[in-house]
Amino acid sequence: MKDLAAAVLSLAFIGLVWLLLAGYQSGSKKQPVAYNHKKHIALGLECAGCHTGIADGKARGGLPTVEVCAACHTSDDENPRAKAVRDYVSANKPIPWKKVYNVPTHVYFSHRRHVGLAKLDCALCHGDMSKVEAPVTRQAVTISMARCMGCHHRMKVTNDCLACHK
Amino acid sequence: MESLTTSRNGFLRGLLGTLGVFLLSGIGKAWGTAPGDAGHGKRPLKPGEHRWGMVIDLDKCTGCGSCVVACSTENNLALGNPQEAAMGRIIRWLKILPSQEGEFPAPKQRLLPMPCQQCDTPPCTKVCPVYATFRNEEGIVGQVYSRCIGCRYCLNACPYTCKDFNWKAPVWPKEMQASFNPDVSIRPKGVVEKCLFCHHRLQRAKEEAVAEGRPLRENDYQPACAEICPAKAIVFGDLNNNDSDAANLSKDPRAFHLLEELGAEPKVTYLKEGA
Repeated sequence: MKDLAAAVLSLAFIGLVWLLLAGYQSGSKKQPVAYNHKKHIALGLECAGCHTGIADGKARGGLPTVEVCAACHTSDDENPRAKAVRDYVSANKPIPWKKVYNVPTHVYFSHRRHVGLAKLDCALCHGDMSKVEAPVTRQAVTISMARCMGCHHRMKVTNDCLACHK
Repeated sequence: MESLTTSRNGFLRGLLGTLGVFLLSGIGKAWGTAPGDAGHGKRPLKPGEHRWGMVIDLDKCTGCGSCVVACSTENNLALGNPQEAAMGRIIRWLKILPSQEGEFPAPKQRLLPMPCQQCDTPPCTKVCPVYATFRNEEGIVGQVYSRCIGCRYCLNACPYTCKDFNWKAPVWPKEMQASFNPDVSIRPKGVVEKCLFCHHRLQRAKEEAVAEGRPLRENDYQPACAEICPAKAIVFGDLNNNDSDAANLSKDPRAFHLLEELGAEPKVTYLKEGA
C-alpha cells in the first residue's frame, strides 16, 4: 500500500513538473499578436518589407516595428481579427514580439552576409513561411553549429572558426 | 694509388654526408608532423592568401600607451583592480614591457609593446586538447572561448606570456557597460583569452569589400593598436603582399623577432632601437 502511494505521488510530481515546463516553454514564446504569415505573403509582401534589418543591410533581420504595421493597419481597417495590432498602432506602443531565433552570444551571424550578399533564400533557415498561418512560436529549423558548418562546406565557403566565433 | 684513395675517401665522405642529410631531414619531417599536431600547426597557405603580420618600430614608439587603451576598449577588457594587479591577474592583450639599463645618473628605459606574436608555428596551439586555439588560413592564431576548457596548457606553452586566464568573471563600472563592442564577446570565468589581431575587423572589412564588389585593400583591415598609434610605430599589413609596408619593413636590416631561437616564427617583427 505504501509502495503504491509512493508511486502515485512520484508520478503526480513528474506530471506536475512536465506540465509546468511545457507551460513555461509555450508561454514564453506566445506572440502578442496572432500574426498570419501566409495571408501577408499572399498579399504580395516581401520578407524584407517587414523585417527591415535585411533591406537595411544590418546584421539582424529584426522584428517589425509598430510603424511598419501602421502603414496598413490604420483606423480605417475594420477587420475584427486585426484588432490586437490596431490597439498597438493606436496606442503607438511597440509590439512586444517574442524572439524565436536566437544566436548564442559567442557567435557572430550577419543577415547582411547571408541574405544581402550571398543571396540565400530566407526559407533555408526559417522554413517556407508562405504556408504558415499560426504565429511563430518555435524554430522551423533547429539552428545548430553542425547545420551552419554543413551548409558552409556544401557552399564551399570558409569553415574557419574565427569567421563566425567571436 | 694515393689519388684513388683520396677519391675513395671523398666518395665515402660524400656518401656519409648524403646519408646524414637524408636522415636528418627525415627526423626533421617526423618532428614537423608529430602526432597530435595534425591541423594544429603550420599549414601551407594557398596562393593569393593573406598572411597578416605586424611591424613595431621601437625607434618610433614613445611608450605612450595609446595602443594598450585602444586594445582594451576594442576588445572589452575589464579594468581590473589593485588586488588583481598584485596577483598579476590583470588581463591586457597588448602590454608594454619596460626594461631598465644602467643606474642613476644615466638610466636608460626601454619600452616594448607586446601583443600576441601570432606565431607561424605556435607552441600554444600544439598543446590544446580541444582545438580551442589554432592557427587559421590567414595566419591568425585564434582562440574560441566557448570551446576552451580552461586547462591553461597553452598559457604555459606560450614563450611570450601573451595568453591570459580569466580567474573570475570580468566586472566593469556601470557607466562602461553600455559601451561594449558587440563584435567581441564577453569572456566568462575560466577561459583563456588572447590578442586575435582584431580579427572581427577583418570580418567586417571582408564583408564591406564583397558588398562593394572589390578585393580587400591593404588598409581596409587595421587592428585597433595600429590604427591609434600616434607615432605610427605599429605598421600592420599582409606579409604575402610584397608591396605592403609591413612586408617591406619586416625585411629591414633592423628587424628582429623576440626569442627567435625558439623557432616559433612570430609574425610580429620589431625594428631595433638606436641602430
